[in-house]
Amino acid sequence: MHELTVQDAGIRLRDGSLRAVDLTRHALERIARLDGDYHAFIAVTAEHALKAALHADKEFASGIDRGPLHGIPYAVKDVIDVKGLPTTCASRLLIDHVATEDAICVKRMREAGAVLLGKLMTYEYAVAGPSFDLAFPPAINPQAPGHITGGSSSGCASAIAAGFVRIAIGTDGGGSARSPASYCGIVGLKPSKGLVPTGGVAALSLTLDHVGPMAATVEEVAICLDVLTQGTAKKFALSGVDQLHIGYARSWSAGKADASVQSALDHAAQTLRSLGARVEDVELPEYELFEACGTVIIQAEAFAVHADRLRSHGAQYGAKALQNLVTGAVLSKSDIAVAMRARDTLSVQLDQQICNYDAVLVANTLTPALLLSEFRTPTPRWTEMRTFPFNISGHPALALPMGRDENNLPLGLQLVGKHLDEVTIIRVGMALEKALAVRLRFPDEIAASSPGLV
Amino acid sequence: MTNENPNDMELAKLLRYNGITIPAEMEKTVFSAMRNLKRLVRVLAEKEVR
Repeated sequence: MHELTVQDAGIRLRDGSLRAVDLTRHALERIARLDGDYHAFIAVTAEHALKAALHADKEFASGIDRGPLHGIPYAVKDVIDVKGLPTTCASRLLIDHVATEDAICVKRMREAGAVLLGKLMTYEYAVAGPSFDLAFPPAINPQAPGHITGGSSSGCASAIAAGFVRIAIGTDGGGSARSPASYCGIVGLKPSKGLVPTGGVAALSLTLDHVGPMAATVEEVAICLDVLTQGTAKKFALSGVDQLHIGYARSWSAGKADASVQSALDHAAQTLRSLGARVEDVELPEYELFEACGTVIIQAEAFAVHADRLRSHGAQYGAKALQNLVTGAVLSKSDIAVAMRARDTLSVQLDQQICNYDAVLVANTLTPALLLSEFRTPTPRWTEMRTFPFNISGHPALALPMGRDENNLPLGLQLVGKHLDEVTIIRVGMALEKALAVRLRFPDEIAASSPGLV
Repeated sequence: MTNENPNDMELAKLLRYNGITIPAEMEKTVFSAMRNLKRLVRVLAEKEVR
């Protein structure tokens, strides 16, 4: 039942061959059976979920239809407020920090009749991880055991990749939805800046934070986005990529990315050509400037958010988050002004290139998921990605799988669109997903077909 | 901090001024990361991103 897409489950919920309560019970049973291995959830709200599912069934029976997510289970990263539940941010300090209101995104999912299963693991305060000194263990990558999930929306990716939920709501301040999507073989979207409100989400960087829907497939991300924007996103056409003009920012990864990543990216570009798209190389502004700009902004703003708490309760932070957050103290107001000016300039330069294309193909993570054992030190460590520029510029960016490497580790790519043009990157993403025949296989399915891999 | 390339002593003083305490074993990593942030600011300024 966990392999049912949101669309297929929706059909069955409406023709009466499936009840929301059975769909929810199946998910809860699967979580109870398997999440001891994956640690995707910080909290499972089984009782509330079953009640919401029963309510959805009653509504269907009485002819009320709230749309495509009605009766569909989902979960949220635990930096997002759900009324009556703690928002822990995976921090010891916030174990009892109960939210008094739903975040706007949760309110919209609730109004759409979606069934919340619980709160998902995150890097502490969405800052740095994976950490081994928190009250909660790090989420595990079900598609690549022994390797990192990526983060900070680690639990979202883990829960989808394990087959606990088809959709989850994460956040993305510099790639936090897109890098775990890449490492775990799922789909993640950073929408255009401002498209999905961030109200009720624990802030890290007011300038760079985005709410990011994540899902098993591109179409499910699109359905979730439509709910999160209350239909203000345009409806998603399924019309392929014939005649579309696609830029390929190959120079941002060539010579720097793992050979398996570069080869898969080149194959994706060639696949787009074979589907009828006009693909040409595009030179985007120097990547390193975006990374410098984004790093300064995020460290300055994260320090501002955490300064009081670091003074009063610094010892209760995990080592990685503490070491990361205090660094922002060194930045002066003039330093921040330099970064903000750079942000404006770089955003315009990037937009001038992106505007020439219907979509731009870019690397997402430059390597497959690294070994978890390499992250056991208390010192923060970063993985190489090409995600930051679009948090800075606000362009929509969609991460989706593009295959596997020789060790069967998931590989992902990124499609970037014009401002508020999620429709086109979703269209291209759906065409690529179909042509590349990349399908999420759940760990029990992989184990059954390839004993020893999982 | 306006100093573009602060030394460990200045950074320790800065943290104390901000009322923040970190374990001694973290100082090397944190101070290095702080100097890197100042370097990134210089990169942005020197590249005249405008």
